[in-house]
Amino acid sequence: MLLARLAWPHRLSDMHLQFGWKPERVSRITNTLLHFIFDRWKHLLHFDSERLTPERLAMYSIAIKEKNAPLDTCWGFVDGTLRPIARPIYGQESVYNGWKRMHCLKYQAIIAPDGIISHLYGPVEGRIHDSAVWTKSGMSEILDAHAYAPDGSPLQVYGDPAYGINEHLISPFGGAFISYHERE
Amino acid sequence: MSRVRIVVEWCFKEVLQLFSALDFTRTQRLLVSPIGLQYSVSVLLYNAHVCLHNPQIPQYFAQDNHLDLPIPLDESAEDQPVLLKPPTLEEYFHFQN
Repeated sequence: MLLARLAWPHRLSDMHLQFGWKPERVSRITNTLLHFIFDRWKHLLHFDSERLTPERLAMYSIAIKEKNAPLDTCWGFVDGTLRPIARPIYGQESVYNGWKRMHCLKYQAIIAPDGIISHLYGPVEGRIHDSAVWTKSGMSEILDAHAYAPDGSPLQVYGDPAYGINEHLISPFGGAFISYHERE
Repeated sequence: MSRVRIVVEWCFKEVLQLFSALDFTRTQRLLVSPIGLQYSVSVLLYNAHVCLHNPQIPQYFAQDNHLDLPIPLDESAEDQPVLLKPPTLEEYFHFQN
């Protein structure tokens, strides 16, 4: 039922016809199920340090290197995504993103090369910058604790130029043209 | 590097393709329905979908993989490039100790 609710813009009244329950009951069931799933599995979206062991992270970095990427110490990709929402009546300016010119919520995700979203942080208000979200999510502390190769050398996630560079985070040079030295 | 970074955008796209109600802006009303929760749970369900179906992103990284693997994950899947098989559902959904 939850899948049906998320799969297409179903109105609750359509689902009333489909499932034979009152719209308010459909809403209550799906929302309860949302809470249930999230409470039970939310640790998987934080940073699953039991599954993402140093050996596995090292394999990810080898896989990315195999795709002819110049870096061999990068195990995942970080980016923020903006999800547009309807304009709220109250406090609309706090979710307005002036760059994309829409009201939105922002999420930050890290994707490993096996396609699994291994970290999701959000929602935060759409007006906040990517790097501020990064600070807010406390991801640097988590990566400081966990993101190492088996031999102890740090591994990075790769972001876009908004994110900056530190021991566990790496991003390209800004601008459309990069100089010869930067390319090196 | 940007060529491999693009997978992160594919990922966001695929979440929306699977759960397109999230892309219907007018029903995504803050404080009216739990939309942050909906997105987070959709990502969890998307991960389950990845575990089951081996979609675009693992296939992209699996092309011409012929290196000596440090750790073979699963000997049974010889034809698949072993390196980037997504975890099974049991591996992925484990409880927090």
